[in-house]
Parts: sequence; structure tokens; C-alpha cells
Amino acid sequence: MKVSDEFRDQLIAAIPSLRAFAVSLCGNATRADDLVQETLVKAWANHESFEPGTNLRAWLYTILRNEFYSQMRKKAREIEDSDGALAARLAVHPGQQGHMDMVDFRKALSQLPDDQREALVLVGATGLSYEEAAEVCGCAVGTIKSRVSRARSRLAEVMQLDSAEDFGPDQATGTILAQAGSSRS
Amino acid sequence: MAKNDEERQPKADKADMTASVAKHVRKTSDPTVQAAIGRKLRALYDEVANEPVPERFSELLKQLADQENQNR
Repeated sequence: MKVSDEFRDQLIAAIPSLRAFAVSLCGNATRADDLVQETLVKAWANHESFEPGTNLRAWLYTILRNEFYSQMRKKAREIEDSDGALAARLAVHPGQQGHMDMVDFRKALSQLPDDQREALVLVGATGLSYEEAAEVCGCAVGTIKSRVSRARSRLAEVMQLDSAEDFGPDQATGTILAQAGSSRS
Repeated sequence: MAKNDEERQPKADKADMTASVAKHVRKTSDPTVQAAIGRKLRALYDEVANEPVPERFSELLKQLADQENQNR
């Protein structure tokens, strides 16, 4: 069956969010666009396996994510040093240079375990439901919930350590906490 | 095991630790902080999502459609 105009239009409409998801996975703009390209080619070739009425973006994220992890596995086989690959993924996306607190936030996000980061991004940024995110990651809904919750706790810790002054009403508390911390050490 | 460890801790330290755990739980579930995390997360995501789509993608889809037409 030929790809319908409607399906093609929906693919085009999904490209911006696919790119954003890809950057959050691999942390590198060029590589992200290569992942998006692979995803579009695969989605086109397998369009008949998409169930109309379900979330196309979730379906595309699933393809992109599978592509990403299969490339990672291939790479891990090629190079022993996966630490080097990880360091490369921490590189800053050129469009994302902004305020200092955003730089800190991005760094904290990039240091989360992969499974926690992708769960947090899927639920917190792409607008997918927990159920859809679970389907994308091929795991139980409860697993997604616990990953999101651990990711949020970790980020909250880092953010409060780095910049208590970002949270307005909490500034006083943050200062007291900082003083208590420094007087103890 | 855990109990033995606890007993080895001087009393003051133990109370201090309990307080810091409570503080930690309160901190990380603070709705203000969680709202800030949500905002930053979406801001990062939207920054890329709002970029103009590179031309390579419209070219790619055109290519895919052309290939499909040639194969019929």
C-alpha cells in the first residue's frame, strides 16, 4: 500500500518533536538528525504496521529509540571505551547555550542514567502519557513512574545545591541550608 | 546489619542524619522545585522543537515518495 498523503503530512509535522527527543537521547545535534533521518526512512517503509488512531509520535519515538540503542550496542562492540562515547554525548547542543542555570540543568540531566532521562523527557516534555511512555520504552507503567520519580528527585537535589536563589520564595531556606552545610564541614 | 551500623553512630549524628533525610525528602518533593524542573525540561525540549526543520528532511520525504512512485 502506498503511503497516504495524510500519513506523510503527519510525519512532517512530527519532525520537530522527533529532533528534540533525539537530542535528549544522544546529546548531539548532528547525530540526532541522523537518528531522525533513519527513523523517517523506517517509518516510511513500515507505515502499514502503524495502527491508525494510536499516537503516531509515540510510534515514531519507539522507532527512534530502538535505532539509538541498537547503534549504541554496535558502538560498544566496536570500541571498548564506552566512557569516551558517554563523554561525547555530554556535548552541548549549539542551540541550547543560554542561561547559566540552564547549563547546569542540562548537565544534571545528561548525568542521569539513560533509562531515567528518557522516561522523564517522554513524560515531562513530549506530553506522552505514562502508558504511552511505557510502550515506547517497552516496560511496565510502574517502571516508568519510578524512573520519572527518581529522575525528578535527583534533579531537585542538584538544582537546590547549585542555585537555591532560582526558586524565589525558597531563597531564605536555601541560604539557611547552605550555611548549615558549610558550618558543619 | 543496618541496626548494628546505627548503634555504632554517636547519638547526635544519628539525630542529625534523620533530620537531613527528612529535609532531603521535603526538598526533592517540593512543588516549587518540581514545577521549575518541568519548566526547564520543556524549555530545553522546545528550544530544539521550535528550530526550523532542516531542509534535508523535506528532501528526504520527497525522495521517498519519488522512489515509491518509480516502483509502481
